Amino acid sequence: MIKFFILANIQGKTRLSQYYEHIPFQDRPTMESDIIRKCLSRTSLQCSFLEYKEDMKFVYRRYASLFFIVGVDSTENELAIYELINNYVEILDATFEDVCELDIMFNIDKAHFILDEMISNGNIVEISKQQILEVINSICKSADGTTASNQPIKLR
Amino acid sequence: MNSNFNLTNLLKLNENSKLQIPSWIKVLQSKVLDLDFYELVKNISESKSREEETRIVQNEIMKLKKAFSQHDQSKEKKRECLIRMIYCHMLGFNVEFGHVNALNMTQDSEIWNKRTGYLALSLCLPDRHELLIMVVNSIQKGLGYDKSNYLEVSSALTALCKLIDKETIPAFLQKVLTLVQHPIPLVRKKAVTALHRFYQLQGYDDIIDSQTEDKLRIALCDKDPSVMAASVSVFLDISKTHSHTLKDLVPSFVGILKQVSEGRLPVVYVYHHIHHPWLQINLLKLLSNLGAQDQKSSEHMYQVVLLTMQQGIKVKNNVSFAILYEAIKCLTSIHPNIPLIETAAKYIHVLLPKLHNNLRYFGIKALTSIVKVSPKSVAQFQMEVIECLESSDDTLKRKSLDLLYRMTNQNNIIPICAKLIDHIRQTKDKSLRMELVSREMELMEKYSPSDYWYIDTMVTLLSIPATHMNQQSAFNLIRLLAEGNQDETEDTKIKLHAVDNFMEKIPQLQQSSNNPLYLLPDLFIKIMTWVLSEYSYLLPSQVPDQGGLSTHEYIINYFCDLLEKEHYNSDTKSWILIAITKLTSHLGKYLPQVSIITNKYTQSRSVQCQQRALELQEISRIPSLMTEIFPQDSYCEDLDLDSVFKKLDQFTSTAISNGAKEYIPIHKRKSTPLIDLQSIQQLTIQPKELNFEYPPPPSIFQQQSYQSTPTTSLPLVPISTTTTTGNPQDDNNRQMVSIDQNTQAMVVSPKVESIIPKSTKIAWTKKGFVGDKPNTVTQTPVIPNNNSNISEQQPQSSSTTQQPTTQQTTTQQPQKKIVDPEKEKLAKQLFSGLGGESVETTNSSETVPKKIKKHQTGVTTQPKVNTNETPLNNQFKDPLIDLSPPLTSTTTTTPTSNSSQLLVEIENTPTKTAITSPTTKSNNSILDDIDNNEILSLSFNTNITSSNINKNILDSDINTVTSPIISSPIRTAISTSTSTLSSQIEPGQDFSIENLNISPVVSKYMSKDDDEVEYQQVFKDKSIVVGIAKIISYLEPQNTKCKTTILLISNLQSTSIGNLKITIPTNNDNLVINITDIDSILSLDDNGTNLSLQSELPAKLTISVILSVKLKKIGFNMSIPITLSNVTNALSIPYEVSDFHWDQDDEANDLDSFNSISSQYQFERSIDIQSFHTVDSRNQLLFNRFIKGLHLKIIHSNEQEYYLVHTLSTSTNHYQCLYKFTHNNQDNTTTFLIKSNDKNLSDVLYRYAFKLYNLEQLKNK
Repeated sequence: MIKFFILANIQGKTRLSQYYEHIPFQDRPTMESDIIRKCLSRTSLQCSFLEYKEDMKFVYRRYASLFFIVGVDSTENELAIYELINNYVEILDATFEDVCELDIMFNIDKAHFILDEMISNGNIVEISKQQILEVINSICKSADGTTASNQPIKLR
Repeated sequence: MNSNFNLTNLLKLNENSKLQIPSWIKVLQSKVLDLDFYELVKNISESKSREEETRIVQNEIMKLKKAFSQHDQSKEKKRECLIRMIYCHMLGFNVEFGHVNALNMTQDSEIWNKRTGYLALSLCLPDRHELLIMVVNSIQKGLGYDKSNYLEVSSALTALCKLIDKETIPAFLQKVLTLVQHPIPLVRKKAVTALHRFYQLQGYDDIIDSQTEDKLRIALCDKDPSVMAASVSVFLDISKTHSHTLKDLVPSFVGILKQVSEGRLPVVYVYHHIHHPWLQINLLKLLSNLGAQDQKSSEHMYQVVLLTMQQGIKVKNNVSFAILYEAIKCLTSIHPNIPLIETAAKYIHVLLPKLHNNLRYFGIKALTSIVKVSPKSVAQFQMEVIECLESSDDTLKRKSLDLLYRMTNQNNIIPICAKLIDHIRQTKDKSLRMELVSREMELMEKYSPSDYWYIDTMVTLLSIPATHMNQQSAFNLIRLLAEGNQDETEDTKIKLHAVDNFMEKIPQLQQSSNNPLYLLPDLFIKIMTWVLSEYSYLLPSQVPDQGGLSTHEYIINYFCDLLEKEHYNSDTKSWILIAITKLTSHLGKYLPQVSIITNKYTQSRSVQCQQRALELQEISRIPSLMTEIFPQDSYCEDLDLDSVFKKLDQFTSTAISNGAKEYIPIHKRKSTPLIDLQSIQQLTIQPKELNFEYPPPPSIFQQQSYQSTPTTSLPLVPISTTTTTGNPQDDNNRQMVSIDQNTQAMVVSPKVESIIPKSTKIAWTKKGFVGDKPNTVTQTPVIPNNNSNISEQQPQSSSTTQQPTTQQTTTQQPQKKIVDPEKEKLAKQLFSGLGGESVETTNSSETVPKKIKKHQTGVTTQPKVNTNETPLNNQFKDPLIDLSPPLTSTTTTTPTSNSSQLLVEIENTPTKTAITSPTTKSNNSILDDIDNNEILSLSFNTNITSSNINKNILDSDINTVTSPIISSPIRTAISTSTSTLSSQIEPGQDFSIENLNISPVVSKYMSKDDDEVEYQQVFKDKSIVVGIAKIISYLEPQNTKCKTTILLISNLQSTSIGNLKITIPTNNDNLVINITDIDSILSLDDNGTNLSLQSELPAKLTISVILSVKLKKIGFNMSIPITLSNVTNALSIPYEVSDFHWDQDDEANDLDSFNSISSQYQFERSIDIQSFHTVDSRNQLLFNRFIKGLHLKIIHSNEQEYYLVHTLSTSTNHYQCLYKFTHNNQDNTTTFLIKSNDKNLSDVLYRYAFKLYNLEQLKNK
């Protein structure tokens, strides 16, 4: 079961976080920074899996300046989660055309919507890129019918 | 970038100036987010520090609050505000102010806005927030089946999964169930997901009924793969706990997996050339749950799992490896198919080469799961595993260590443990280190090849800093050393090995301890100090290369160094101090360096250290005491409290004679004033100290005892007084006795006068006294001594509790008066180590034999009851030898004038010729080395078969009662009985009670024919032999009494004993003791506790005191501490529960009631007895002794099993104990099962059984 899904940049700042298991709000920032620090301390040759606390391990994957970190319980298949991250990034990529950190920041709502389609109750419910994009596009239509993509602003 | 800025600035300007906005700008506005949001994101992404970020967010919250208060904003603006709020929340700030706005947003018609509202709520709403009920209401509105906008329904369902709680499920269940059959697949999928959430929250029993299960099964067959995948994950969850309900679906799951792996899904579900890998993984997990321990289901699966594996391996990418691993794991969890697993193991080759650590990690994981089922498949990957072990990657290393741990067996334990220790040393991760330590401990306990290895490894492990090792497991080392095995020489070797091991460490520790970073763990120091202090005597007396420094001194020096260090906690320091104390004792001198350090620690802030240091200081003043207190190799020995008490007694008696007040037990204090007043009124002269004493024994009990034994007690009271009154000089004494009579009489009958004349009128004994008069006169100096002697008894009983225990063990039962070493030993066995609870149930039966052995060879803690010449081996007697010889009545013997007058009690007894059994002596010499108390507590049952004669006694007793004036025939009898004894004693020769025929003396007190008497010799020295005879009456109903005669016989027949004084406590926690009868030569003082000898005890004479002992409650180590004033020791008469009569009126009288009562009783003890040398005779003997000793009633028996019961009633309680005695012929083991309604009783009996067992063991050897 997936316990949380966190996006953070290499400065250690959280860009997106979604919890599937209840963790008190006040405990989250410390835990996030702790995990991010652990990820940062590892080299690319090392395993992308880390044991963390009791019955909790996390799988991380780095894309440019962003870390995608997924916390799972001990029964979860780490490689499958590792690939799930990639799947998520592929979908983001398809949504924002060449996704970057700022895309996610400006479209945090969409990033959440995609995640909600993909993972529910800590389980993977949908992985098909086409299916998800279809739903996202139909949700994020502006009132006048045009697809609202905030994409045009490219800061970098 | 700049152009954008200008554009938005322009936009803002337009808004402010209320100019009409051109439509193109409106379009831009929807495309380009508002400036506020843009600025927020820009600021946050550019912020360099946490402080800056905080400032930004706080500023933002201000803005948001303001924005939320404006109602005329566009929906887009509102949504944007919500997103900004999500940001603030994500960065860890409280956004409670915006919850209502988010809730309002969920009611918007626009799906995007709606969804954003739900998103904001699901992210920002804390658990169990009061707003949830509103949210639920809002979601419910969105769940209409007929809504054409399926997006709205799916949004509501998505929100439902995140926001629902247990209480609100019923409001949605039906709606969600209908939605499972919605025409749009997206809604169906979300509905199944919602059901999954309900299941997660509520559990199987509350959610899965036939309706929901039907719906889920329909969803499983859904033509849309997403819906099916969603339902598979629900079934996966169900299978974790309720796999049996899904067995019929195994073919369906197998079918689905087959289709997916063959690639029958639409192309949109292909990820990296694999069809829905996550679905495949879920299905494999599901199958492994369903096939576990189910061969039938497993057989369906083998083929498809193999297929999945093969399909996956073709692609060779991450997801395919994930599937490969899951397939291997599935094969190892379902009913194993070894050929298939071996095939699967070959695929691991793909993972383990150095492609990426992720894959090697999975390779190791796969091996870990395979090793459980097929260990040999793992062997081919040895090298790869070793490489992974040496990897710098923590995660990989950890998994590899896990693999090592799981593949450990007897053969590879040594290298694996070495490896684990390496890693324990290396790792910086605290939790990993703790895990490794606990695993290492577990492996060591499980597979340790030898004790030497165990010790070495343990020492190494202990020396690693910061392992946070469990103290209990470290103490296992102590237990191993202290208890040892059966083999004495081997034990010594092991001990020596451990000592050597620690000794070798000292030089290197001394060097490394200069480095402040290198701290030895406290636990290591504790264990080291213990081992070195206990067993360093095994080492050669001088340390090589240390200039002839003695070993003890060397170690002490090191310990002193340790104490100088600051970083050990006070607990550890107190251990070191104890060790130094022990070593100082062994060394025999108080070294100056020890003195310095001890002085320092007497000022220690830690009370514990202070205490230890002060102890050491005190002990060091009396070097002779040191070896006694800290004997060598005595950890498993018994603490001999007797000798300690002895010393304390002396101390207290001196103190009291110097004017100190004596200790009065609390329970005595309360009642003192009342009764004291009475006695003061009646007393004319009374020694001062005695005012504090408890007055005469409880009169009610005494009266009862009179009633129960009417023949014995009454006539004797006057006699004792007469002896005193017969002596005119002895005013003092007479007064005391007569007062005692009064107080007794007050209860028995209010007429004091009627008793007093009685006591004075017995002139006949005076006549008898004539010959002895000179002696009586010389006896006067006894009286001044009285006070100090009396006091001896009281402090003694109290000193038990005050006595600081010299070792770490604490006295378990505070009610112990004098510790019976035998029972103490058992207690130690049961709670051996420093609080090893587990020993009680597991080790006890095995440890018993070796404990016995140790005790035999034990050096010092032999109780010193008998300090002089001969060991009391003669006491040990085969129980089968009947003490009572055929009776021959002697009518005429030489009446020795001086003895006959004294022995009034004995006079009536028929005489029997003594038979000393010459065979016993030679037999007993084998048992020379058994310590005294062990023997003392033995009990022999000797039947006295003298029916006719006893009747005569009865008659003559009655005679005595009715007419106190003695008739001449009786007087003849006196002389005969005494002379019988004296004829048995050869002048100038040692004798022991066992060699005498005492039945004539004792038989008088036996009321019925079936009474049994047990003899024990308690004490013997040059001048006196003290013996006891316990009379156990079986036939008296409801009688939990035991009568005991204390016999004092002057030894050697050459010297006279003067100034003899006996103190018998009448109050005991467990026992009620009444002095029923005493010899005329003795006088009882007014407290009813002190007996003094009027004159000297002439040679050849016996004195007897008879006590009636009644059980107050059941306890351990029941004994009467008796003080004989010319004997330095306090004598103790041990009692066992078996000494008391057992009420045979039992509830359990057949097998059925036995079983039903047995099930009610909760205090259960069981003993497994093994390894008897001879097959059945021993067990049979033991069994018989058990039955006979406890007077059990057999309820039911067959060849292998006996069901027994007995009941015991004391004045307040009713105890019952059930026994099951099962003999297993095959391995020749016997099991006692004891069940009782009283914990104490079951414990007492348990110990009793052990004692019998030990005796048998001893005899076997």
